[in-house]
Parts: sequence; structure tokens; C-alpha cells
Amino acid sequence: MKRLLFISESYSTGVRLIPVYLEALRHPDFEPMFFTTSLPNSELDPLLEQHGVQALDHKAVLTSKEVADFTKIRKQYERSFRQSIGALPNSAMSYRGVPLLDTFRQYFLNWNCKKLECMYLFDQMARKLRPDMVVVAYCCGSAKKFYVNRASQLGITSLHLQYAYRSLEIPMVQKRFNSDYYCLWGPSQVEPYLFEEHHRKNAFLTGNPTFDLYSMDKAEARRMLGVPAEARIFAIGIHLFDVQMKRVKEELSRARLSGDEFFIFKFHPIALGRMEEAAAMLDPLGISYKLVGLDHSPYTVCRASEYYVTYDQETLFLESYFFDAVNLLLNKDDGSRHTLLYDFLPGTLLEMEGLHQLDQVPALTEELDPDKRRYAVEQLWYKTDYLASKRVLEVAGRLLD
Amino acid sequence: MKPVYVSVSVDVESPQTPLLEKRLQGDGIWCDGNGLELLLTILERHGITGSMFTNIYEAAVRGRPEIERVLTTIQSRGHQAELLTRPVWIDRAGRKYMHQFSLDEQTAIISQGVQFIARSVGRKPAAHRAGGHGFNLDTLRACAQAGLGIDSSECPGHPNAQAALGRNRLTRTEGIIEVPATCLMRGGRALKIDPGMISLKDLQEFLAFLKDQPDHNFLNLSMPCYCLGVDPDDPARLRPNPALADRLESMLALLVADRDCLLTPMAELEPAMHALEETAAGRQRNRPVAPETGNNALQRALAGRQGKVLLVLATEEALEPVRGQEFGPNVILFTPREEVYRQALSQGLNPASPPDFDRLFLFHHLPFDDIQHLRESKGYSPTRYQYLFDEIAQDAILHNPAVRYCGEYDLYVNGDYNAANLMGHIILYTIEVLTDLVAQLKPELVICLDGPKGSMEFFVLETHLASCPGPEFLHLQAGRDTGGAA
Repeated sequence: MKRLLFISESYSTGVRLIPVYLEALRHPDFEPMFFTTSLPNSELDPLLEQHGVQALDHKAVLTSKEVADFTKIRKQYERSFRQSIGALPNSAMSYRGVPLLDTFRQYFLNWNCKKLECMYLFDQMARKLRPDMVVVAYCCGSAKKFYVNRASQLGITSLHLQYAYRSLEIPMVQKRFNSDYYCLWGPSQVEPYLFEEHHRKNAFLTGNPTFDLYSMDKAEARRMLGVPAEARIFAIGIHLFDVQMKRVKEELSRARLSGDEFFIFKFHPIALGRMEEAAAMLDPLGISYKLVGLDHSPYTVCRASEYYVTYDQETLFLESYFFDAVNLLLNKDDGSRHTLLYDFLPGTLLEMEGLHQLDQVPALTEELDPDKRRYAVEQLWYKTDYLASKRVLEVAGRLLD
Repeated sequence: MKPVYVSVSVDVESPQTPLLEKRLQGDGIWCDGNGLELLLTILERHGITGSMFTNIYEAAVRGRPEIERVLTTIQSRGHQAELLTRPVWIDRAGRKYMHQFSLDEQTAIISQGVQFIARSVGRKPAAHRAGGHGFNLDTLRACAQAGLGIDSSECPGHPNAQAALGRNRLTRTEGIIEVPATCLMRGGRALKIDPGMISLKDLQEFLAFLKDQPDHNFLNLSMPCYCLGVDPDDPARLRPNPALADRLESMLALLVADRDCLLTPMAELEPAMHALEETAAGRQRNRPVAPETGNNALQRALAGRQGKVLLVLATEEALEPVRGQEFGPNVILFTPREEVYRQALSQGLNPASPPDFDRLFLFHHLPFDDIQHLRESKGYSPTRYQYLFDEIAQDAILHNPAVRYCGEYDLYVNGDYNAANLMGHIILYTIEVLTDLVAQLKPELVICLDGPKGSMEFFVLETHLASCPGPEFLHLQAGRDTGGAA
């Protein structure tokens, strides 16, 4: 039996890993274990509970003796750090003549102690749990990087499941990856996501395992959400509350609605605390709507909707392609159009000035090209068969053979 | 812009390990025409005089006439023969590194090499390099005793080195100018500026970084003479490497075309060293004036000034002293923070601000969550500072074992994205905005006006301007100093 250690930290990584973990539980060749770096976690806990995942954390792994041993290691490191850094002038780290060391030395010490803690904890996990492979959905920084680095030092293979999209159209400096192997969402992601060639050689196309848990049909999704079965549903993603809700209010007040529209506003965790404020802004408009926070997955919302509306090309905008929601991409705040993330997107979505043009949606939808849409889905998500988790496990099995 | 002195240095020798182990499959210096001669031809094509560090001690296996032929080829083609010491070829005990020898022994080894070169080409070498970077301070003393003025043995963080002097900077120690191998950091590893180790893009980025650093004015492009003629995966085998030759050509073309780069043989680097020493002395002369006290300090500072003055209104307190004031056309008001800018507008002022220079308003004082929407715009990105962190953290962190390691735990594998992100937010972007502003406007005087608690803007301007010759700097604190309208 191959022992897979899944390491999660937040909702974003948990939602990628849990489907594969659940699939591995059912697979005769694998013995999966799920570790999270931060319990309790108000976003991740409901997800773990929803899927019945028994997660380990550091308290479950470390004995009090090991905690005491680590304290000694940490104190020794602190001493040698202070002695060494204390002997250096402030200018030993500088940029354009501006000395930086004094400002950051305490941060470096605190952060390095945290790194030590992660690596020490991983050593104990490796010794007790004996994983053959570590599976993560983020390895560029924070605690997970140090588990992956330590795994690598100990000769334990690491497998990274893609967690965010990348696009060559939007050039940016990439975060550096640290894992051995990578499972990617679709062909369009290989070059943009893995900018270092040696990582590309170790990439596999599997699709996004997150979606495997959302194979319900539209009717069932609507029942789960408690929204009308027959309405034309527009899902709207809200993460920059001030800017986006202001536009929603202003544009919908000008829109000529036909009356069969229903709006689902899906709030990003950053904006969760302002849902009441959103309701106060929306009520005077007289529209039918529902506000969704962590109580329902964004994928349930996409599955239930005919349209996904967004002011930005965020991840859910791309994910809605998997769920057959037609994308409405609204112009930027300055009125200009977006540069589309991929050259296969034109013809597959509606681009509009704002919600005040909703009456044009039916006509514009007729003009979409279904072949282009199909191609876009393949490029983004490889296959829409809800078998991505199985494919990830096939990769894991091959790598461990 | 300050000049960057660039030397191209070549180690002229065979691949040492295969030669020692007697498995070299051909001549490792000439490489059937793809070694020393090809390299010299490429350098000449770009008008560059190479500093050719020659391992004369290989005469023990190749014969003296053969090494003399190498030296005369170098000299006759207009390049400079310098000395590379590989004592393993003359030491009965087989010691490989100079630091394994006493001062007297090192002096004898270097003197032998100096005489060999002088007799072969009629010119004494000016510089020495310890093979494998295996030097210590005695090596510099030995150079001085042997009459050499320059040593080029240091390579930052190299395990063979028993001394750490400048880390990418020229230094003067024991009377000798130490010219280190230039290294850049990638993913926590030090890579030499060597066409076999880095890309053209790496070189471009590093050169841009170097130009910004007041204490750095030198770049050493180094390579072994056989790099274009052996298999990079197995240096015992000769194999032409046209791709590497192309890369070298591109790198040399870049350096030659850059107006700030002065291609200089190592023997002629005294002016570069002198320029650094002058900069350090200038720092002493250009200390910022202590905060003014007493009323009307701002008016006094501006009185009679004809030259350009940059007046940075760093915090909201700074707006009080300027309320109602009239400023001459030579005074540029600048508000780096958005809330200060808006308040200035409401007061009838019309200051310049970062968006006028295609930059974001400074956000170092804002919470992390408040700046998410600023990503990937106007030069700011949380990921942008990863490579810069690698460069600036070399001395204090990446080459500092007490910080980098704890037992077998390496805390900086592949850099530190989180630290880079935080530093970008807290200060690095602020440094770039303010220093670029000063560089672009070239004021005669910079005044930073803030409140009793000071400001990040003051700290950045004070320390940056103290580090390099440039405008005068004055710090005024509203509430302590400045008084009201004239």
C-alpha cells in the first residue's frame, strides 16, 4: 500500500486536495492521511466536516517530549541567530543604500523559527507516518514550502496539484515552485504555470479534481441552494466589496429587467463580513436575489446558474466554463475592456459594459460559438468527466512504482 | 549614472579533475580549435582585452614550451597574461589549494609563476587568482611580497575560500585590490557570472540591479578557456558548444553596447577602486543635516534658492507649514501618500504624486489586505521581489550559516518568497519610487517634511542620499520646526 500524506492549510488548498483524498480512501492501493497546518480554521473546518475528513494537526503528531526537544533546538537557533546578526551592521542588507537589517531582523528570526518548526514537525511525521509521497496544492511559500523542502531532503516524492491559473497574456513574475511533480488543469496551463523548464518535464494533465465532488445537475444544485427552479439565474462573484457592490447597485438600478432574473451573489471570504451591508444595498432595487457565503460552494452556485457575471477574470470566471455557465465579463472600472487571459476565449463569452445591459444577454448568447466554447473547456480543464481525482492517483501510482 | 567597470577574465588551463585523473580525451586548452583560440577570437570581435589567468604549473605535465606557447599566443593577440596558481602540480604532497600552504610557501609559488610569465612574454603579471578559489589572507600577503597589486580569488560563499572580503564588491586588503568573481543568487544558490551558468536575461537583470547599488561598481564575467570546447556534462570529452558561444557573443554585445559599462582589463582596475573609495569619503561629506529646529526653517531653507528643490510632504502634518505659502517655480511639491495628496488638493495645493510618474501611491503604511487590488500594476507585485531578496540577502542571510542553517535544516532553499513579499510591501517599493524620483528630477536639494514621529519616507531619503553623492538633504518636522506662512 502506498502511503500518501496530504498537506493542506486553507480552504483554497483543501478544496483541491480533499477530492483526491476521498478517492484514495476508496482505492485499494493507497493509504491516505490528511494533515492540516492550521486547526481550527474557520474556512477549512466546514469543508473538512462536510466531507467527513479526519485531519491531523501538529498536536496529533507531536508528543510533549518532542515539543520540548524542539524548544531546545529553537532556542539554540535563536541564540546563534542573534549572535550572528547582532554582529552585523544595519547595512549588511541594503537596497540602493537604504539599510534594511534592523527593520527586519526580528521578522527573520520569527519566520525562521516557524520554518524550523515545520521542518521538525515534518521529520516526526515522516518517522511516524512513513509517507511514500506528499501531496500539496501550494508549495511556493508559507508552511507548506518547508514541508515540501524537507520531504525532498528526506527523499520523499512531492506531488503538487495546481491551485490557481496562470496566463501568458498577463505577464507577471512567478512564484517559485518547490515540488517534484505537478498535476495541471489543462493544456493551456503548462507553459504559463510552470515557468521553469525542469518543472514542465515533470507535469501531468489531469484536470481539476475540485470539480469531481460537484457532478449534480442544475435542478439538484438549485434545490440545494433553495433558489427557483425555473428562473434565469445570474451568479455574481464579489471579492472587492466597495468597488464591485457600488457598480452592482448603480448598474442594476439602470437595467431593464424582464422579471424572470434571479441573482446569486457569491462572496469571497475577504468580503464575508459585509453581507448585511450588501443586502441593504440590494433591497431597494426590488430584484430577486440570494447571498451566499461559506454555506455553499461556488461550484454549486455555478452549476445552478445560467450565467456567471464577473468584473474580473478571477479563478471562478474560468471555473464556470466547466459548469456550462455562460460568462459575462463586464468592463473594467475605467470603462475599458479586459485583455482576455487566453487566445482561445474570444467567441466563448459575453463582454459587456455593465449589468445595465442585461437585456442584451439573450441575443448575445445566440451568437456564441459552441465549438469554440468546447475547445476552450478542453484547453482549460482537459476533460469534464469528473475523473480528475482518479487521474491524479494514477499519476501517483506510476511515480511510486 | 555611475560607470560599471567590467572585466572579462578567463582561466587558461585544462579541466583539472580529468587531467589529474589522466582521463582527459584531448588537449583541454586548445580543444581542437574550440578552446583558447576561439575564445580570444570572440573577445577580439567585440574589442575586449581579456584578463587571462594562466595555470603555468601545468608545465609539469604539458612541458614548459607548450605553456610558453599559450602565453605568447595570449600576449601577441593583445590580451593580458595573469597568474593562476594550481600548486597541486608542483607539490609532492598533492595539496590543491593555496590556503593549505604557509605564507612563505605561497610567496614562493606565486613568485615562481610571476617569473615564468615574465620570462615568457616580457611582462610581469599584475594579478593573481588562486585555483578553485582556495585562498586566504596569507594569499594576499604573498601577492604583495611577490610584487602583485591585484588578487582575484574570492568567490562569494565558495566552500574552498578561507576568507570573505567584499562579496561582489572591490575591496582593498593588505594593500591588494581584491577582485571577486561576481555571483548572483538564484533560488538560494550563488551562480557565477559565467556564460555557462547564467542566461543573458540573468545578466541583464543583474546589471540593472548592480547599477542601483552605490557600493557596487564592478562586474567580473568569468569562464574557463575550454568552456566552448568540452562537453559540459563530461569535461573530459572534447565537444564544440556553439550554443554557449552564441550566448557568450550576446553577453559581450550587451556589455559593450551599454554606455554605463567600461570594459577594463583587471590590471587597470585601480580607477574603479579609487571611485569606490571616493564614494565612501563622499558619504562622510554628504551627511544629512540634522532636523531643523526653530520657526520658519522651511522658508530659510528655500530663501535664495535658484536650483531645483524637491519638497516631499510625507505625512499629513507636513501640510500645515506649507498652507498658504507660495513657492517658486524651482520648487516641486511631492506627496507620496494618497491621503496626503487628497488633503493637499483640498487645501488648494497642486502637488505632484507617484501616479504622475506612473507609480502607485505609497502603501507601506497600509494593512496587507488593503493593497490586494494593487497587484501587478505600476511596478508592484508581491512576487516581484523574490530575485531582489536573493541579491540583497547574500551577506546577512544566504551566506551566513548561523542564519541560514540549523543543523541539517536549510531554511532558505529556493529563496524566501514570504520575506520578499513582506519587504516589498513594507519598504522596497517605497525605496524604488523615491530613489527613482530623485534620479529623474535631479534636484539640488531634497527636503523631507513630516511630523514629530518622522516617516518611512524620511528614513529612505536620508539613507539613500547619504550613500551616494547627490543633492543636499534636509529633514524638517512640522510641529517642532517650521512655523506658519511667511
